[in-house]
Formats: sequence, structure tokens, C-alpha cells
Amino acid sequence: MYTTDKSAQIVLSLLKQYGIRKIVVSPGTTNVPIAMTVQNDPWFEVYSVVDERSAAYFATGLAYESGEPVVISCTGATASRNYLSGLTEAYYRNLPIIALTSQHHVADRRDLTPQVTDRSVSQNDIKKVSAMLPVVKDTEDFERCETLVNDALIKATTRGGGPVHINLLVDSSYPFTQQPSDFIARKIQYYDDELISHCMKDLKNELKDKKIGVFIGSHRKFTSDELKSIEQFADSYDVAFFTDHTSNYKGKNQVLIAQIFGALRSTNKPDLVIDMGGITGDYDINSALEGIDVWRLSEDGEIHNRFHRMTKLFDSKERRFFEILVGRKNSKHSYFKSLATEADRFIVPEMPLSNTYISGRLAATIPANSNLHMSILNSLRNMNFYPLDKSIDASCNVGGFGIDGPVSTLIGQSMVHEDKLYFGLIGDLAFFYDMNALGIRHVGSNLRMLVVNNNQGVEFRLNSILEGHWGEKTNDLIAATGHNGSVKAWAESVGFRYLSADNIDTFDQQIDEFCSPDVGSFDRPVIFEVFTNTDDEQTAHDLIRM
Amino acid sequence: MVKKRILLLGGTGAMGVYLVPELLKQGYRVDITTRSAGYRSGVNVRYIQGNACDTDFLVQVLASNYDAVVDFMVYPTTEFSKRIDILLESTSQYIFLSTYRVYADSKGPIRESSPRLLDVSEDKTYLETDEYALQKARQEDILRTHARKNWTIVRPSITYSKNRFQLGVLEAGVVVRRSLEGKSVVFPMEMLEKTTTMTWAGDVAKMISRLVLNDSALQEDFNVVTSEHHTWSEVARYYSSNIGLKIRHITLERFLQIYDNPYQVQYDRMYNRRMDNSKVLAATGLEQGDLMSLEQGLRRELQYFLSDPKFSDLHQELNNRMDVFTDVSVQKIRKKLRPRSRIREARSKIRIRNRLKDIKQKTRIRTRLKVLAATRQNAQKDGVILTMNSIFNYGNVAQRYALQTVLKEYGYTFDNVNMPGWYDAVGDEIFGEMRHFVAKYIGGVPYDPDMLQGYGAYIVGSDQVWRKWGDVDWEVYTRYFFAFIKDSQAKRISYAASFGVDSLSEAGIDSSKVDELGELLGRFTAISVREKSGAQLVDELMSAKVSRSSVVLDPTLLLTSKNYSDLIDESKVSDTRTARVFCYVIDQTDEKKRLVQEVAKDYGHDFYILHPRFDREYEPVEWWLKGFRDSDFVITDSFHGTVFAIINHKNFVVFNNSMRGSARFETLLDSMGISKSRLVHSDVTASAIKSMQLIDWAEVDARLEALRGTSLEWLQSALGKK
Ligand SMILES: Cc1ncc(C[n+]2csc(CCOP(=O)(O)OP(=O)(O)O)c2C)c(N)n1
Repeated sequence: MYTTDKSAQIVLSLLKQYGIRKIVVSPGTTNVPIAMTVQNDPWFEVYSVVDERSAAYFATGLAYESGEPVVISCTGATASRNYLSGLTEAYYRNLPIIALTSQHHVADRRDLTPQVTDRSVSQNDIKKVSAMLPVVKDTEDFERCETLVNDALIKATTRGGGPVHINLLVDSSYPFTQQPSDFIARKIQYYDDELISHCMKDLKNELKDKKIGVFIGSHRKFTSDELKSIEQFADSYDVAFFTDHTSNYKGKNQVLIAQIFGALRSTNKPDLVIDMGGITGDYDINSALEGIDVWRLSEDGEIHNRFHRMTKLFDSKERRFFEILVGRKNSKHSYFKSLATEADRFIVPEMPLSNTYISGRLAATIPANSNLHMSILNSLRNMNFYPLDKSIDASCNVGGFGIDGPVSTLIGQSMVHEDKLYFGLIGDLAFFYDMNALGIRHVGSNLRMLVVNNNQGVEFRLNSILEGHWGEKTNDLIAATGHNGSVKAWAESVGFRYLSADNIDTFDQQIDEFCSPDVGSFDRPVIFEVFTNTDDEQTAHDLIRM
Repeated sequence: MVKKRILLLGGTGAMGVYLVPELLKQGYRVDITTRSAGYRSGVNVRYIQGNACDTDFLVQVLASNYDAVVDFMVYPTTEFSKRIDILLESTSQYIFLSTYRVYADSKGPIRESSPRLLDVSEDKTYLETDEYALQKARQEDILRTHARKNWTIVRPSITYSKNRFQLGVLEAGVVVRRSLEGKSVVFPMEMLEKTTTMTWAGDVAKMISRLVLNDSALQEDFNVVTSEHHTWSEVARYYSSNIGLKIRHITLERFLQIYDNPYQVQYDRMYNRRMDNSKVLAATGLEQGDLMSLEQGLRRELQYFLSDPKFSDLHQELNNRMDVFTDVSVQKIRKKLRPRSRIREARSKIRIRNRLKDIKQKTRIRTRLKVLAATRQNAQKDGVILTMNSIFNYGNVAQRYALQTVLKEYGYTFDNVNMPGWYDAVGDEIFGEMRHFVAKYIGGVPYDPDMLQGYGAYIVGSDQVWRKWGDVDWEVYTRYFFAFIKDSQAKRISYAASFGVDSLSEAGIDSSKVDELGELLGRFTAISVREKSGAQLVDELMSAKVSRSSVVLDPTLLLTSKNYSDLIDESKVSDTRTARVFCYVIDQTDEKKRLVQEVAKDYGHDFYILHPRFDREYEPVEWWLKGFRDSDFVITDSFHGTVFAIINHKNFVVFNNSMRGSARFETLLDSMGISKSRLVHSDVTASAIKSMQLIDWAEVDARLEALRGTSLEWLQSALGKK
């Protein structure tokens, strides 16, 4: 008898794929799916220990002596509480114990359901990670479940190893079949530097003859050594780098996601994706890379499964990873070239005054070696359509994605190099949210901020779904129209030079002055407030994506 | 403020791509109907998937009452009159896309009021058609006479765009494609000095977008064009400097042999087209100086196109025909045969033509005498056979051979007409063997209606003589219904004539022509067809309640394998070797190639693929016949390929060829009692073929023998016994 409960099947399938055989079962009902299945499956080496405190310690003994990971499985009630002492022992001795606790899937302690305890919080020093598996009802649950279990099993067995916790929600009808299931969950293969070196040949073979798309999310500035090894990697295979400005990638074979997948809607997909870096504000990438296998390169060793198709996790310094996998320098760069010819078709359309227009002009005019900070989200999105000179550093608060701090961040940045220019492209809601930062005493004349004031979060009027549903009705609460008025008085009262424009001509007349490369050309920090309206923003947004 | 809403019917084409952004810039919301998925809607742009020719869909879309509708669809006139009410009623402005081609030839620049072909043409046959220029003019008239006056007519000229490029009647798939492939573009020299007006799609879009919801545009017509004009040779120069276009000059006459729409040539491209655009400029506030110059526009669009060249239509057929003129190896041989330079040849031709005019007078008398002599001579014979002269097609030649041979065996003497066609321009280095065979066994008199009078009997068939291929001239088509024969007493017979397909519309026969064809068929003394479905079509044409025709065997089936075998043995190929798996394909595909290789595995990989192409010499007909005879397995997509597999008792499969007509395969297999599973599609596998039921040849022969008997009897009774 074998369970057909999907999340239990995922756990059992992955246990096998990670080579984990030993399991200690304590009696109960909610762990029936596990107990019944392992009892019938010769793969598992099963022990029965009635009391859970003992079972956990028993497992530490098994694990210590055999050097193998050990699963302990128990039911609800206070059963799992008795694992705590054994798991504490395991934690401080780095013993790989997988505590598999279970609960009825509809149960809730607030409903006074018997046997249900709150497992969402536990001591920090009893587990490296706690995975609360969802009930699998659709593909998303399924993928989530796979990722969580992979994560727990990897953490139990790598970086020193240690105890992990997996909580199963169990269907109380206990569905099962008589036949062992041939279901196989997707394993994420973990590699550390040692394993990468060991499997180098195979990995290189896998990279050969493939169109490889390296996606770089937001990233700290690359060091020149890092860039060198990345470019050598690019010379060995057929590689293109999918980036936006927050990727900070200034090396070869770079394509702008917003151009190629956003505006041009290219279907020229890679065969394999290497995913690195943090959160991205470039939403187009998700649909563009749908269905393609992903290798994730994480310096923190964590699974970040943003595309839900991860097959390998590389726990390595980025530079090490690329260095090890460098091959012979014989790339023809054909994938990149084909993307680059496509990108040639991106033509900036004629359009009305709007954030889209302003970004384009700013990108083209901003002097070399300066810095640019964009606010969430429309400013970032628009700027991402336009290439920036390689000497320009661009950043955005995509970590927390807040509109609450771009002015402060930018001012903070501008403290570092007084001889460099720091530009901001900031929306009105974001500006007024964080306007008090203008008062910071340290602000210098190397700061130049362009505020696009459309009197609302036009973001929400550019969303075709919202627009289709409600159109102008969005203005009231969702786009928060009509709150703040103009930047002028405040900017001037804290000693800023104030410029403004409300049509293309006056904007064009002032943009060169605003961007003048000489740090000393203004004796004060500058704010350039440009007024746009919803209609024009919408039109420009449609035009650039045609 | 609520944005005004504009609907574009079918607006993803060459003009639509520019019109949508223009309308957005004017602050409109734009909805576009398109048949294909994959367009991404935006905030103010919405793509609606569906076919605007489909009335239900149209009604549904129009229900949301747009402020203006711009109609890019092309409808037959009957369709248009059906939907005009709802189009005009649903919106406050309906913009109808007509064409500058509606205009007749004009000395000066064409203005809106210049005369139209529909009103002044005296070409009756042309006026009978619904050719594009006439169709649009008629639909303009429907608008003008409609009770509602909320229409605007716009007439673009030749409009080039992101992936639309023209040179004369040729499109990107010929002009740009050939240039990129390093091949010359065949072009009629008479057209080169004609003047044309090519307008950039972006300018057309600007004009239309300013006519949208423009009160002064209601009930008005506008030529949305530039006033800049060039000769085609200037246009050609622009292409040369951008994409290295090379031109091969030929005469217009020869060009028309390879190009299918003579009206477009005659009634547009051979005119000098200069346009006056003052009306549209005044209405839109644009100035001629705002418009793109052709030189700049072509450069810009070609550069864009070259960054990722994808042709929406490859014009394969036309390109193949051009290859015959431009293929280097062919040309070399040609040059040897005719050392004079092309230009000189052409010039002398023109001179000759002028001289001809003078002597025409004199020759007219001589001709009349000749006709009389011919008529007398023709009367000596039993008759003449008229069928397609598809010299490039083995099946056609075999079929002509067979009928001629059968008639000879029964003691009749028949002439055979060599129908003229584009293939006459192709030299012997390609069709030498074919012509040799025809001359030896079939013979041929030229097609000249005057010289073909006086025979006692006329036979049309076999082959797909009654299928109207593309835009073939009505006069050419009706030859096969004996429209040209004067003698009402002569026997008019069809033998195994074929429509190739199952319905009149598929056969290209317009319902308006049914009566005329029915009348012509009515004069026939005996009608037989090759397919059952053909018999029905004859009855349909004749509105006959009782069937008027018989179904008979294709002539090739009237002879036996011995007959063909003797033919092979007498020929020079008698002891060359052919392969165990013989594959004769007309439309080559990778699937077919793969299948042949798969099947050939069981035959020691011994296979040969015969795929006739116009860039190399054809093998002798006897060699083709031998291919079937000496094989163990036949793979084909041809009707006659199937016939010869059957005659020679070969295991075979035939690929269904729905484009070239599938009715004939089905009738054939049916009548031979062979399972239809032999008629396969491209997804067939070698193992599926292996497991096919064996063919019962005894059964096939018995049926064949019986059918041969009835077919021959039919033929004899139609002709009268000798
Ligand atoms: C702190 C915070 N609150 C709310 C949001 C949600 N949000 C995302 S974009 C946006 C609108 C920003 O408007 P604005 O700065 O005027 O830029 P625009 O979209 O008009 O270009 C909001 C409210 C957020 N990201 N962060």
C-alpha cells in the first residue's frame, strides 16, 4: 500500500533521490501515509520507536554511527514537542536529522481541533530550516512543495549539515494504491565548488552547443576579476546576458530584457538559463524564459527558484563558478549576435512628454561616469528600455521594492563621491513620500533629481488589466490622484535650484543644462520637476511596446 | 474626458502597423481585429482575434459602436453590399480603403475627379471580372449611392512598408529575396520607363489618422499619396544601392508568360502614374515636404527589414519561373545557342515588330489562303487532340502518348496540338528529352484557332484540362471547351477530362461562368471524365438531371505493361540501371525524403528520387517509365506515378496531394479495388507501410481489364468505328 498524497509522494521520492534510507517511525494517524508507504518499500530501512523523544535521540545515534541522514516521522498532539531535545543535540553536533511532522490538512488550533499544535514557530537552534509544505492542489503548490523539500534536504546535508524540519499536511482520507508509484519529483542537484570541479567535464558538456542565457537580477557592482572570468566564460560557450540596469553588468554580450522581450517580444529563447543576482524589476523576463531549465548560481547557497524550473543549484562564488567552467576560447557568439540583430529593430518611437520620453532623453544625455537612481516602478521600467553608457552606475531599491526611500538612498549614495554626479529619476508619489530627505544637512551640489510629476501613481493606469476593469475609476484610491501639488516650494525652501517643464519643448531646452557634465555647473543641488499627464503616459507606454 | 474609440478591421498589415501608433498619438483608443494570435494589447490598444470577413464576428465587434471604423478588408463586391448597411450604421465615420488603381490612364497627375477604369474602359472581358481595380471602384459606387453619408473613401497608391517592397508587379518575396540570394530579377523592359507613385506607409497612416473624425472628410474621397513620382528604373536603382538588385530585362510579352495577373500590368503598371495630392494635404494640414522621399524611405525600411529578413510570401512559383531565365548554367548554354546580346535582340525585335506592321496588310491575304489550305488538309484526318502541353510533367506526356497510341492502334489518324505556354521559353538544355519524346511519338501542330478548323473530330483530354488554374485567361481556359471551333457539325468529344478536384469552386470556376460553360458542353457529342466527381461537376455545369457523362480510364491505363516495356527496350536507356525503391515526387519535402530512406532500408538502401526541377535537364521519358518497371517499391505523390505502380504491379504508397487535387487518387484506387490506406499523409511511417495489406494483383488486373474494355468501347462509339 502506497500513499498517493502528492506532498508525501514528493517527500518520499526526493528522499530516495538524495539517497536517504533510514527512517524512524513513531505511532500515530497523521503520519500514516509515510508509515504505510515505507513499510512496503524495500528501499527504506525502517525502525519503530514508540516515544518521540527517544526516537529523535535514537536517530542521532543512527546518524552519527552510519554517517547517513536519518528521517524521524511522527503524528500530531504533543508528539513533535518531544523531538526538541534530540533535535537540539543534532543541531549543535551537525547531525543530519529530517524531522517529518504531520498534521491534518483542514485542522486549525483556533478551532479547537484536537491534536493540533502551532508549528509555525520553533527554537532557532533545533533546525536549519523549517518547511511548511502546502496541500498540493495545483501546479503552483506542486512546484512550491518540490522546492521546499529540495531546500530542506539540501540544507540537512550540505554546509556542515544538520537537522531540518518538514511539516506535512495530510489528507485524512489517506488515499493510497496497491501499486508502488513511479512518480519522480524534480530533484535540484546541489553543487559546491568541490562538486563543480569534480563534475566539470559533464557540466561543460552540458553547456556545449547550447544557447545559454545568463540572467542577472539586481547585483552589486561587479569587480574587474569577476567580469574577467564571466567574459572568459562567454568566450567559451554560446552565451548572452539578459540584464536590466540594476544587473550592473558592463561586460560583453549584454542584451536589455525590456528591449528584446518587452518591446520586440522576441521568441528567440535560450536552451538553458543560468540565473544569478537578486530581485529584478523586469517582469518581462518571467514569461520570456518560461519552460526552460535553469541553473541557479547563488553565492549564499540558497535555492532562489524564481523561474520554477531549477535543475541545479551552484553554491559557489560567482567568480569561482565561471572560472571552473571556462572552456576553450572558441565561441562564435552566435546566440548573442542573433539577439543583437533583433535588438537593432528597437526604434524609439515619436511620443508625447511622459516618463517614457523623459527616460529616453535622460539616458542619452546623462554624462559619463555619473550615477543614476530610479524609483519604483515606472521610472525603472522606462529607463530599462534604453541603454546607458557603460561608465554609468544605475540602481534602484528593488530589494524591498518600496517607494518610501529613493530620495534618501540617492542622497546617501551622493555622499560617497563628491566629485561625481548623482542623478535621480523619481515619481511624484515616491518623491513626496521621502521628501523630508531633502532637508538632510549633508546634501551637496552633485545631486540632480528629476521628478516626474503626473499627479498620481500612473503605474496603476498603465496596467492593462486594471485599466480594462476600471479605467479612470482607478484614480481615486488605487493610483492616489491629486495629493501633493508641486515640488517647487519645498525644494526652494531647502536651497535647491528648481527647474520645471510641462511640454516637450521646454523639457528639451533644459535637459542639457540639467545634465551638464560639469559638477560645478550648479552651486546647489537641483530638482527638475516635469509635469506629465495620464493620457500621454499611456500613449507613450503603448508606443514603446508596439 | 473619455477617449474616442477607433476600430481597424484587419489592421495588422503594411499600413496598419503605422496607423495604430499614429492614432494613439492623436489620443484615440484603438481596437484592431486580426486573424492571428500573438499581438499584445496595451493600455489603449486592443487586438481582437477573429476574421472580419466572418459576419457574426463583425456584427459582434461593431456592436460596441466605435467612433470611426477603418476597413482594410478586401471583400468580393457581393459580400460588400451585404455588409455595408451595418458598417455604416454602427459608427459615425466609416473609412473605406480603395486603391489608386481604380483610375484610368491619365496624361497629367491624377486627381480625385480623374476618370476611372470602371467608367471608361472598353475592354469587355475585363469589365466582366471583379478584378481588384474594378472591385474597389464598384464598392466606391455602392458607398456613394448609399442613403447614409458618413463614409470617407481613401485611395493609397503602391504603399511600401516594413515588409512590403514593390518593383513593378513584383513583391518583396521576389525583389528582395532574389537580390539577397544574388539572383537577378526578371523584369519587363517596356515597364522600366513608366512612371510610378510609391508612398511610404507611414505617410499614408499620417494622412488617414488626420482624416479620422475629421468633419470635412465625410462623404469625400481622398488619394492618400505622395506627389513624388519616379520611373521604375529609378526605383530599381534605389533597390540596387540598398540591396544590390540586379535586373534581367525581358520583353513584356515573355514576362506575361511567367506572371499571372495581366490586368495589373496592363491597367496599372504600364500606365504613367502621377498623383496630385493637394486635396488630402489641404484636409489634413500636411505638406508635401512633411512626406518621406522614396529614396530615404526605401533605405530606412530596407535597413529595418535586413536586420531580420522574413518574407510573408516567398512567391515560390514565380521565383521558380524566373530561375529558368537567370540560372547561370542555363544561361551559359543559352548564350551559346544564341550569342547575340539580349538588348540587341530586344531592339531588333522592336524594329521587326514595326516592320511587321507594314507588312501585316500584305500577309493578311496570304494568311487567309493558308487557313483555307489547312482546313482542307485537316479534313483528310480523323481529328485532333487538345490537351495541356505540360512538357515539364512526365504524367502529361505519358498520357498524351497513350491516347495517341491507342487511337493509332484502332486505325485513326489524329493530330496533337502543342499548347503554347511559359515553358516554351525554356530551352532544350532542360526539356530537350521531353521535346524529343513528344516529337517522336506524339507530334504537334501549333495552337492557332484559324489553322485548327476543318477536322472531323476534336478530342479534349485527358489531364486536368477543366481545372481553371489561378488567373488563367478565360479565352485560354475555354479552348478546352472548344469555344474556338466554328464547324457545328464536327464531333466534340472529351476523353477522361479532369477537374482535379471535387467542386467547381475548388476548380476555380466562378458561379457566374456556369451557364457559359454549360452551353459549351451542350455542344459536345460525347463527354467522358476521369473522376466520378468530375461527372457530377459536368452535370452541375449543364444543369443536367440525368448524368451526361461517363467515367473512363486515364489513357495511360488503356495500354498494358508490355506496351511500355517495349518502349523502354527500344530506347537508349534500355540497359541503364534504376533503383529498387523508386520515388517520383512533384512536391519534394523532407518528410518524403526521410520516408524513402526508411523504406529503402529493407531494399539494401537502393533508392532513387526523381524530382523534376527546372534547373537541370530532364531524364528521358523512357527512363522515368523504367524507374517504375524495374523497382520493387514505388513512392510517389503523383497521379501517374500511381498509375505506373499499378500497371507494373509494384508495391507502393502515394502521398495525398490535396493542393494539386486529391479526388483523382481516390477514384483511381477505388476503381482498382486497392485499399485507400495506400493514400498516405506526411506523418506515415515505414513500419506502418510494412504492415499494409498486400495488394491482390489478380483482382486489380481483372478490374483493369474490365474497365479497359468499357473505356475503349466508349471511345470507339464516340468516334464511330473504323
Ligand atoms: C512603501 C510602498 N508603498 C506602496 C507601494 C506600491 N506602489 C508601487 S509603485 C507605486 C506608485 C508610485 O507612484 P509614483 O512615484 O508617482 O510613480 P509613477 O508610477 O507615477 O511613475 C506604489 C504606490 C510601494 N511599492 N511601496
